[in-house]
Amino acid sequence: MTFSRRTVGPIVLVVVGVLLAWFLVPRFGTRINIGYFLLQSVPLLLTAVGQTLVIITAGIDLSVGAMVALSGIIAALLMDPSGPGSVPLALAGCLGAALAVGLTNGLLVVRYNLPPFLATLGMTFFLAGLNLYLMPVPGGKIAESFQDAAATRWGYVPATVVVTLIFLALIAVFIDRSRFGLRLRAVGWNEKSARLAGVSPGKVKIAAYICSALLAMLAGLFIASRTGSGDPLVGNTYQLSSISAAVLGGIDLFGGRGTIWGAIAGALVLAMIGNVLNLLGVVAYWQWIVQGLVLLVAVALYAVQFGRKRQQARLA
Amino acid sequence: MSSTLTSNLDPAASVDASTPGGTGLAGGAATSAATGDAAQTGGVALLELKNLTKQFGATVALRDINLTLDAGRFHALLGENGAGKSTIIKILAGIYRPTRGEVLWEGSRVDHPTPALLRSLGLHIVHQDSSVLPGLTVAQNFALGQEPVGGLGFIRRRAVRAELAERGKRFGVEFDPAMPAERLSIGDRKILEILKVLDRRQKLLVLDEPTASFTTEETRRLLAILTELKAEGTAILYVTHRLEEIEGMVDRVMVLRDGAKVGELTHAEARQERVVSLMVGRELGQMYPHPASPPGGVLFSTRGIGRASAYEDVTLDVRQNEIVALVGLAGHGSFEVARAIAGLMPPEKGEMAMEGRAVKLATLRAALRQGIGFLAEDRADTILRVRTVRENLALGALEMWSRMGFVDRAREADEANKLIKALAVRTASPTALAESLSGGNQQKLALGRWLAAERKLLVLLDPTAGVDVGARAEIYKHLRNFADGGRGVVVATSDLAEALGLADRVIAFYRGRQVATFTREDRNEEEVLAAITGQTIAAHGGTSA
Repeated sequence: MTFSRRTVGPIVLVVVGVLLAWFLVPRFGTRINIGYFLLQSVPLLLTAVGQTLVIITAGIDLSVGAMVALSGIIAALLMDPSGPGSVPLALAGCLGAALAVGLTNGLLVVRYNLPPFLATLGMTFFLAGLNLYLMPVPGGKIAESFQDAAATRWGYVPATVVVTLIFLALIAVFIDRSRFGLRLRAVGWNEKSARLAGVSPGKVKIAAYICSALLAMLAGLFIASRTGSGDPLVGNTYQLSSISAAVLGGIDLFGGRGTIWGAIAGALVLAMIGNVLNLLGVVAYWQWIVQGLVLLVAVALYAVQFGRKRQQARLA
Repeated sequence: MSSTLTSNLDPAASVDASTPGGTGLAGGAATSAATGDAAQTGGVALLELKNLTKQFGATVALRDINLTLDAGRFHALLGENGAGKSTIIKILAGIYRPTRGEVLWEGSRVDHPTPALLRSLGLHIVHQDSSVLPGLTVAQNFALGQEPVGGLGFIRRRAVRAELAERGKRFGVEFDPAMPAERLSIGDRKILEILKVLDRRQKLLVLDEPTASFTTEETRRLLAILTELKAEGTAILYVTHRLEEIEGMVDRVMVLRDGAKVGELTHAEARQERVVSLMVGRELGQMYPHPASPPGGVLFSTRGIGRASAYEDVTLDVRQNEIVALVGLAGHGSFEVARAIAGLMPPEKGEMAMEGRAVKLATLRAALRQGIGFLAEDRADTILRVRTVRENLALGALEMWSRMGFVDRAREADEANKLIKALAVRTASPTALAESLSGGNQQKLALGRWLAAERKLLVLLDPTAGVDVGARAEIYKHLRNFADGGRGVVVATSDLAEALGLADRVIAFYRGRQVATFTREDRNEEEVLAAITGQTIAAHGGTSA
């Protein structure tokens, strides 16, 4: 691993952010708040990591938000005791939906050569409509057993948080060291060179979109387990906040550069800003303004570095 | 040759029994009986191109090419820019499909080559453009595409490092596996690419202009590796337009001109003069027009301009009626100074003057206001591909042809038609899209834009890169005519032959400094080459009258 501003920056952001919040914000450091804050950040962590996998290939996935809502809706409909009432069926339904959405995104980009922005924007509209058709208002019912399992606590620590963090750390190590991770970055850097080296860029990209949809699905299941029902609009914020988190994590939107560790850090920072402003009783629209400013400052700091690097690459 | 026989028995290759009349490729390619040059090799040729023809629309890039490569031999493929060398390589790599003709590998037809199939055959191609990814480490680049993986898809990094070290040792080079590839020199990147394909199963290594921006030392290292490889029995196809660097080690030279094979010479016959006359095929005078009038007064000048890590202490004059060529290896200052004159890499110190008045060219816009026109080296940056021929021509002169901010369409059409005629742009109509034109004709559009705009000085970067020979001659004629009207032209070019043929003065750059100036009377390619590779300290001082 190389230590550049891009890899160290996000870690510094998290550490500084936590220290500032710990000492300056009353009640931030309480066990209850930390647990609450980590629980709140789980869906953002999952979607940001998925988003990062896609952005590394020089793509973007705008449909993560709609996918989050879709999986919650499918789960709530299929677990509902007045309907099929089956947890395995619900999970299978979510899995199938995520595979279909990811594969379709990937094929639109790879086979039909659509710009990722447009392909996944189209998918977003399609899913948003589908979600409202399936469930016009929040409803359905998540099985009690599933809710209980998701709400398990080990002492003060929510089990889902621990499982999520371990799971994402494994993904991070895998992307750092595996063949898939290397090829992912190679495709993002220069598709033509990667192809000449024997990599097939299409397969790598399709896999990235599928991973993104699967992670969005997990985020949707998590939210549904906490609210006990499905909600067609619940995913909306994740469409763009997953991108913000990836960018805070130091990713290069032109592809190639970026790490999963960064995405994890970026998501934690973004979630923490929301949590701290809530604790301070700041009105919601100020939270957006602060998030926007933090994002712009972080990007400006990384951009200095990127601009230089890219130029060198081109001159060479 | 015995190596042909052993290679047929190589269990690792995916060609099953490719003896004459063998069963062909695993990839489903059709088989045809081998009809290779059996008398010469005592077996089947390693690679054979038969009647290979490639057309792009109406343009014929390759015409009935027949080439035979033998195992263990060093072959050179020579030709000028645009002769068709790279087209052949791209067909071998499967990037282009031939219009007609076939490619035979050890007697079996290869119809749809992919990187994986070629690797399994032992045919490795190192392309002209570096495929090293600067964002990855040396080891990652080395492994990419053929990563040794353990369980769960993790790369066995120790195996990668060991293999890299082992291959490096074999050829006397050493790489730090953890170093980011962006820190490697151009030469080291190329050597890394070559090491990557030398898996001991290689039978043919194809190198497309490998030394294009090498230092002499890097060239020497590369040739040492190739010598070693040839001794191990690997055949080499070396594509270049400079015979001298491989003259001593080449077994056979094949010369291309305008898409056709014009000669095949053995080691003994391959002499510089003979190859050059085959390559060029015409008197240089026909290609490059002579100036109609001697240089006049100074039009544009720089005095001691410098910019950190780009160029240093550059003092030059461009006179009326004069074409000045700036030459040098990539990154050594020639392109950078041309960009400085166009306002794109403005100097941090020194002065510039246009017609005797001091000017500050901090932006391209400022340069345009001073009557300077600029053509970037990449036509994608210059031509609006999905706009019409007419609109592309009008782009430089829009302000002149407009009234109150609206383009005078009648005038635009009229002027554009005149330019199309004057430049002999081959287009179906003035309203055809620019992308429908050949590379050479697109370049004429880019040039025509500035001719319409009544410029005093044109600055061009590699104006004929990727332009076919016929269109090149026309572009040279237009540049000469432009200069002869009391104007000036600055050409930064990576084609030495072009600089020597076209320019009244050639200024050589090395490490950001001008190291020599050559006038029409005293210059030859060797001297210029020596100057830009830093082998001589400027024997030719300043500008001569």
